[in-house]
Amino acid sequence: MTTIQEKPVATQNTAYAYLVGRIRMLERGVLNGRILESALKVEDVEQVVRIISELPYLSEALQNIPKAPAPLDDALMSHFWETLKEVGRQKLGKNLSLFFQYSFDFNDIKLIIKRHLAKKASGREYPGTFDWKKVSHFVSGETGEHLSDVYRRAIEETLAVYESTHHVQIVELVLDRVYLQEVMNMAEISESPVIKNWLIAFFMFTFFRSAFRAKYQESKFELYRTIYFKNPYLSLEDLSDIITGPDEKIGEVLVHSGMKNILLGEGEYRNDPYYLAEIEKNMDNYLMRFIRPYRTLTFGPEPVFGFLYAKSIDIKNLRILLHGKYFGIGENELRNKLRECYYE
Amino acid sequence: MIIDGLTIAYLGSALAIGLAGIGSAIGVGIAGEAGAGVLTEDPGKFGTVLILQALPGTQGIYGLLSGFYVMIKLGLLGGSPVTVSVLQGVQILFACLPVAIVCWFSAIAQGKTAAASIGMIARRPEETGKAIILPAMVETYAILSLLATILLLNTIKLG
Repeated sequence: MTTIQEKPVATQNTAYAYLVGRIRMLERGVLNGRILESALKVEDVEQVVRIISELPYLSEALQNIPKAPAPLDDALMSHFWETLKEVGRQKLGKNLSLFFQYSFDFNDIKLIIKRHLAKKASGREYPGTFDWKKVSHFVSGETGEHLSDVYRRAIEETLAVYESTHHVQIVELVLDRVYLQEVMNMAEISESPVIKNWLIAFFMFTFFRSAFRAKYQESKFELYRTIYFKNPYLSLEDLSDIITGPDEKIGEVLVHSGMKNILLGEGEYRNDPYYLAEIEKNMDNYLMRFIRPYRTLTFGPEPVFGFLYAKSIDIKNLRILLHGKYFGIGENELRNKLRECYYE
Repeated sequence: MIIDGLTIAYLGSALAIGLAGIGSAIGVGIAGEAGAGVLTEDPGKFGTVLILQALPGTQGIYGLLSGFYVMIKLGLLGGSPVTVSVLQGVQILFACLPVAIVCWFSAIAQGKTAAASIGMIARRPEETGKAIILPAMVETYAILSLLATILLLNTIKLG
């Protein structure tokens, strides 16, 4: 596991000058520590919105939106989606935004398949790169519908595995596997060693996260292994050790895989939901610290990718803040849940 | 084919104009791309972006100036070229190299610095002054190379 521990050299490709110039403007709309701290101190959702509206772009996205978590959540999500589309419209930005677009698309497919399995009429649609009706038709068996190979494969594999197991959780696991295979492919073809290593770290964290959850939920390992596919970074035995082994074994696996620093305190694992939430926060912070030093570059894909990740973390932080304030969660408790910002 | 002094001197002039021009074109292009990105989001920054984009263009002017100086020295613009020995031709060629090479590289470097400065004014419009000074520092070396070329050309006595 030496690849992601080294500090990779950025590409400095001047072909990204346009995109980076544009990102420099858009970065003015990224949250920073000062804004978050001010937002933590206020009493209610309306005041939080007033504070974050100081930031350009975000203020436009939140204009005339009812001051309640659900509509604000939708507005933030579509704001992020529009940013992704805008970056993806540029030839060089297409592959960079694809990673983030995939997370939308795969979540959409999960929902479509679950609705299909529950025999529910089509409900609300969420942002995605495809036509929801086409995917719904495809899931219902109209395989003549045109779909990209990735989604076609994802749906076919999921439905086939479901047919043999009739376990709803399998839908999530198989789709996560196809998603992670795509992340792996993206890492392999990435022109930037920084983004490549970042994607590998993300890939490993997703495996760890799902293994920790499986351990907590006491899922059967046979079910969990559906998410796994052979890769050079994590073996099935490592994940098996996490799920079925004693708690002390987890620290060993993380040390062995080079990810010791996501553990808290003395490095001892505790199988409780608060600890899991903390570890997930550490994973997000690790990824942020990984990409943050490259934000000052003038050329290359790294600042663009870093900005997109920063936006995704902003959405996560704002959700925590807005929901927290709405339900009256205390300032300190909320502060502990917040992720590190791109700009401190 | 016999290469005479005049042909070698032409080569010096051509290199000064050509290499410095290529450098400037690349530099202005890089800064322009970054500028276009910023202007897509905020067209109001056109004035500052234009100044920063134009900075790497000066090297092309220095190259042209040196090239013209060689042409004047050779009497080409007056229509009556002077006689130039092979040695004098080589001297003119070498005298042109500082401006040709330094301007070529410095224009690209300045274009990159200007692009970084354009990014700086995008995030911090209040720092426009500092943003202009940084790429202007690169200009120093282009000016020094122009000075060296002119001084070297002045030492060459043609008949």
